[in-house]
Amino acid sequence: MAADSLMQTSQQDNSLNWWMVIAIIELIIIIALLFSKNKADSKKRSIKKQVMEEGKIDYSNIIASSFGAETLYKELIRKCHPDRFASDEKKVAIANDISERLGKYKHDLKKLNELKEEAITKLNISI
Amino acid sequence: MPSIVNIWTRILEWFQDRQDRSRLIMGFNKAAREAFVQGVAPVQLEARISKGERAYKHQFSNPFNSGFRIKAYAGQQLSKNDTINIGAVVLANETLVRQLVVLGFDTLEVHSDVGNYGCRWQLHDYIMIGQ
Repeated sequence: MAADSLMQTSQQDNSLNWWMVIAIIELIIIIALLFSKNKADSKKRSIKKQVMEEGKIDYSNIIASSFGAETLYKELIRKCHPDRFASDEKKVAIANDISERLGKYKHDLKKLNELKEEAITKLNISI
Repeated sequence: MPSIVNIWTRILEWFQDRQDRSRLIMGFNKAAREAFVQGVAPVQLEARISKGERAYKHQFSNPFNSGFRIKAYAGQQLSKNDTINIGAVVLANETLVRQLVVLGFDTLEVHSDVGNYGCRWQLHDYIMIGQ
């Protein structure tokens, strides 16, 4: 009886060792995969770092622009149309410049407000 | 053979990523709440992370949740024009789009409060990373 139990224990020890070997191999494979992914991701990480340092986002302006930019843009593009200043060449040039920038900042309320002030001052119009 | 430091760095980066994503969402939601309270916006918008669209995946995409969803919660109903306008404003902000992309988002969704209709855009179409 005692000899049988001793045999069983030694067999269990052997099987335990095999499992340990398999576990170690798995661990090595996982670590190797992690390392290879790490290398591939290094470029992505540098791009991410660069983009995240680009600047702060003005969320308030984004929210305000979502509901106010379109109306202001339509009004400005109508009132700053170069054809309205056909008699004054200087004003036509300014109106052209403002119209061009209006198209660029169509969805940015802050920029549109700046352009509005510029239009009031330079084109002498009321908005 | 990778060092323990490398693995540790990757774990830290994963947490950093999560933190950056939630910071962006929280920043947007805070501004939306303030705009609604001050009367600047007629609707309270809320940004959330959604599943996203598989077809829009890019190399930075998060494997599970890659959608940036903006939903109207309080105030008036969003019309289709409002929905498109909100999306256009977000997409016009190049810095925001670039940050969304590197943080693993690939889909921008704008939804109204009621029903399932909404609009979605592929963020990758609006950036110029690495070009």
